[in-house]
This record gives sequence, C-alpha cells and structure tokens, in this order.
Amino acid sequence: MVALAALALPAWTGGCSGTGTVEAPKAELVAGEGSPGFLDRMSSQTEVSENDAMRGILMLLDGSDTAKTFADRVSALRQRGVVANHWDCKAARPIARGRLAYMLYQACKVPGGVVLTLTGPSGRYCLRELQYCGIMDSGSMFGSVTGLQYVTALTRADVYMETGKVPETMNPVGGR
Amino acid sequence: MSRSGIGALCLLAFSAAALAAAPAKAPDAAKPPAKVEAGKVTVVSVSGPAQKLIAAKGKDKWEAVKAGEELPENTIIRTGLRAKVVLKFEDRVEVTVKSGSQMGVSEFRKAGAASKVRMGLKYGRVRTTIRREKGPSDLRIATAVATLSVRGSGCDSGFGSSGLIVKSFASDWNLQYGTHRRTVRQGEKHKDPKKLGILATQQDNDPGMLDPFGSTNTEKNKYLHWKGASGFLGGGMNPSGFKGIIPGKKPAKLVIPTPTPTPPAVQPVPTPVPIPDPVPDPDPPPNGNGHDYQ
Repeated sequence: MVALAALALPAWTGGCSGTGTVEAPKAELVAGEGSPGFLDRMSSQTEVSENDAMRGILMLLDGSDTAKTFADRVSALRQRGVVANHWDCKAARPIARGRLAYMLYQACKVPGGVVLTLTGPSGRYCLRELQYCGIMDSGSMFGSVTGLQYVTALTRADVYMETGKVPETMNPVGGR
Repeated sequence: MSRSGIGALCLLAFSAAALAAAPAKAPDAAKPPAKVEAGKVTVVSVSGPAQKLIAAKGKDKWEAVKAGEELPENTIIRTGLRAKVVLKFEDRVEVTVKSGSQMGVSEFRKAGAASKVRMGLKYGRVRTTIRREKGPSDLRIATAVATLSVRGSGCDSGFGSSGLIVKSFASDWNLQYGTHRRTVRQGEKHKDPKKLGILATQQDNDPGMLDPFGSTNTEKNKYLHWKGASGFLGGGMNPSGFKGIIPGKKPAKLVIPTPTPTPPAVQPVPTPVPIPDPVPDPDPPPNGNGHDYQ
C-alpha cells in the first residue's frame, strides 16, 4: 500500500516533486521587455520555457518583471507561494500544463473546489479547476503549452483577476 | 363627376407633377461618383502599456501609443496586460482594443457616405461599434482562421487558443471561413466547431475530439489541410486553407504589406466603395437550432 502511494504521489503532485534545485540560474531574458512585447513574442512560439512562463506570471502579478536572472524569478515566485518550494526548475525546459496551472491558480487566488481545499494545490487539480473556470484549455497536465495558449491563458487570468470572470469571447467553453 | 373621372384627374395631376420634377433631378443623375478619401484614425484613449508599429516608416520599432494622435494606414497596435486602447475611425466606427491583443489597421477609406475599414486581429479581443446612421460601412476583421464582416453595428470578438469567438451585441454579423458562412445574430455567440472548424485550430490537431459523434472525412481533411492563407491586416481568407497557429507547427509570421506611396487625398473612382450584399439566410435553419449555415 505504501509503495502504491509512493508511486501515485508524483502523479498527484503533477510530476512536480523534486528537491527544489534551479538549473541554469543565470539564464537571462530580453531586458526591459514590456508586457506588449512579451505577449507578442510568446504568441509566435511553439513552446514556452519555464523562464518565459515565470516572467509572464511576474508581469501578471506586478505589471512588470524586474528580475534579472532565472534564479531571481524563481526566488520571487517562491516567496509568494506561486512556485512550490520542492519544484526542480530548469530555465530552458518547456513549461508543463500542470505547472502553469499551478502558478496561475496561486497567482489568481482562484477559490478551489473540495479536493483543492482539502489537499492543497496540485498540478492536476489546479488544471482541472482552471479548465472549469475557462482560464486554461483542455489537455493533459504533462503536455507542453504553445505560445498562443500561454498568451490566451495569461490574458484570461489577467481579466479574471480584475473582474472575477473570464470574458466570453476568450472562454474555451463559451462562457458561463 | 363620377369616381372614375376624379381618379383620371388625380392621375393626370400626378403625372404632370412627375414631369415637372424630372428636369430638377437631371443634375443629380449627372453627378460624378463619390470620391474616395483616406480617413483618419484617432486614438481616443490609452490605458496601460500599449505600443504601435507604423509599417509605412519601414522600421521595426515599436513606440508607445499616445491619446489624441492620428494613426496612418498599416499601423499595428499591441496591448499588454491591463491595457486598453480606444480608436475612432472618424464618425463611423469605434474600436476598443482590449488587454493582451494585437491588431492592425490596414485600410480606412471613405467614399461619400460609405466607408471601408479593413482590420486584422492576430490575437486578443476587440470590440467594434459602428454608427450605421452615418452611412453604409464595409468593415472586415480578418483573423488567421476566418473573416468577420459587418452586417450589424456592434460585436465583441476574441481570437486566442480557443479559436475565434464572436458575440454580437447589436444586430447581425457575418462570419466567413473559406466557403463556409455563418450569421451571428444579435445576442448570439458563435460556438460551433463542427460546422466551421474555427474552434478546431487549437484542439491538439485531433478533429475527432471536436464533437461526440466525430467528424466527417471532408471535415477532417479541411482541418488537416489548412495552409496557405494569410489572415492578418486585411489579408482575408484563402479558400485553399489556413496558414496559422496550429500547435506543434511554426505559426505564420506577421506579414505587413509593402506600403504603397501615400495616395492622393482625392482619387477618382468609377463606382463608390462596394458594400457587400448581405448573405442570404437559408430558411428555415437546416439544423433547427436557430443557426443558419451555408
């Protein structure tokens, strides 16, 4: 039983278990990039790296990204609880859908359902919650996120933080 | 006098009046066609980070958008998070570019009372309000998957990873993808991936997942062969397919048409700006759910 639980744990946490290491901590991004340019650059990419994804989350929270390196971004987001302390972070690795959902869920402070309330945030249930809210598109938690999906999710989250709902013309389920 | 006599007198009187009025109308008939003029696009307000790129300058340099400035044709505007830009096309059209959007104005012309506006939406949301009482407007918004053309006077449209979603808040709008056409009625929202395939673009390239009954072979072929079209800056749709943002494939690069020399303020044209005929609605709707398809 214990072995089964140990096997299931990585899946439960969205494959995000780790020791909290940061790979390529000095990785930098374009300096002085505002959110219009960032969204434009992201919209044309086939995948979104963890470094870029965290820049977008910081822009969502603060309006701009003042961190200079990847390690700074991870540190800033860990302090706010947006990035879990046990995550192993790699700057160039494509962000998984579950991880992005976790970060957006924490950033937007979405009121979760029963499972999230009882067990705390996890990639799997944050993704399901955000799909229910209309912030994220359907898909597996282990899959990567395209640039346009990322831009759309970030925009939806931005509007959600302002108004508490996702605009109908951006909602994958057509609005509720 | 009998009734028939009174009727004949009235008929004669009307005929005489019509003949008398005919010479007065002759000058109107000889009136030259309306001249096409370039309209002015003004930035009404800006909130949050927003930038513009003027293609006519030939530089790939984004500059901040300022309220009150005039924008030439072939201008691209992009907004960041928590930003909004309101554009006014003289007294005809008002466009609100909402946060996280990129759109372009490729053309704004006026010919008498008629106006012609061509815009493109790369991603994000725009709200379009048209003042129909000022005259007929030929307005089109092109996205990578479909073209939205005016039939009514106001709609919200958004293009993102879920495809193009349109909601009309005033009157009807036409939506065209290749040979498919759809009318989005007032208060109605377009959301039917099976018929148009618009929402299919970002569904992991799996057309079979679009609806519980699967798709026909024709539909699958269309989804899998969208290529070759340009959808930005008024490029419209190429019936041969789609070139755009499909997961796993490199998306189309934004192509700005080569700027032509600044047209003269007045250009003689043989006919006024063409206003497209409204799309005929099939009657009754074939699927009985209030939507009309062609």
